[in-house]
Amino acid sequence: MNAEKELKKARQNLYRTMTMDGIADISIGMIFISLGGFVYIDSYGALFIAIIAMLAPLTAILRKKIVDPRIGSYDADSFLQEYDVDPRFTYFGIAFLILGVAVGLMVALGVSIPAFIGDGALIIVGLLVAIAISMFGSYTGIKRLYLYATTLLVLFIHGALQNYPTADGMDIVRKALGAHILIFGATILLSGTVICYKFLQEYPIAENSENEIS
Amino acid sequence: MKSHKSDDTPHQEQLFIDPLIHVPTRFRILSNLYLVGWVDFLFLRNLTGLTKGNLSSHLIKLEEAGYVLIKKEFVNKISRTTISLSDSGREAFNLYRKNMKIMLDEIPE
Repeated sequence: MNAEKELKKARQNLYRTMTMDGIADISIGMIFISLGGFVYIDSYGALFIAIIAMLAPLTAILRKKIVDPRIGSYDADSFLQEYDVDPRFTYFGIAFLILGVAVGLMVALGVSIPAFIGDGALIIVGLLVAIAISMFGSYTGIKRLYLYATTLLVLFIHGALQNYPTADGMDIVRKALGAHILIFGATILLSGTVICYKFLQEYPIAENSENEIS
Repeated sequence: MKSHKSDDTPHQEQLFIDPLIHVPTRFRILSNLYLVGWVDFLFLRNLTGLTKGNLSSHLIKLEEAGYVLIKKEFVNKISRTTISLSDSGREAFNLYRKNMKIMLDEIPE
């Protein structure tokens, strides 16, 4: 028996079990929809912030009332705290940080992005984010993350191919960005809703005796 | 003939592979407890896919060895059994992982 391989399987199984109710997807979908809505409309910021702020306590209540009676509960606070984080995530985090600092410096110093990068910048960023999501999918064994990564990449490529005006038409760019975020959020929300429905069908509320050692 | 390996290098015959952990089902139970602080009995059943009786018997053996802590409590008048890995269980599990890794590394490809 290879203990490390078995432990990896257990970790992936744990991630899948913890997310098989679809509630996390619904919450994340709602966050993107709120953000996309705010970017698109460019007002009602307080309303969107309120929706996002309400999601954390709402998720906790839903888990307690719907999920725990069906599949049991666990200590979420200490989850994986002693387990080694995959070093690839550290490398990717550092790469994103360097990229962010570089872009920030270029904007601050007024340095224009070279044309050959500028044309494909959106696709490069989309690709990096999609790879990061896919890597997390591979690490956790949650296969639907590949769907989210693909959706995101398609949206980034679509956005890059539109050739939106950047100088005079910021409003068009903002609305397009908002619409893309909305579509991404709707995809995650829809997926989460289907998963949640299937979960409720598959797992009835367990009897009290089921949670007792015999 | 004298061995070329230094004395501080663990040899396969010196490694202790805990028979209690080496049972695949028990390893699966301990792996899950290793990754989470505590779980209730129902959640552990879902994670391991074991029947109530099977999981109970393995947990009792692990509790007798001092590897797991089983706590029975009432939450909103509903009884619940929570299970966590004890300090000695965590130590034994880490030693098992380490020794298994050394053993597998020593096997020629």
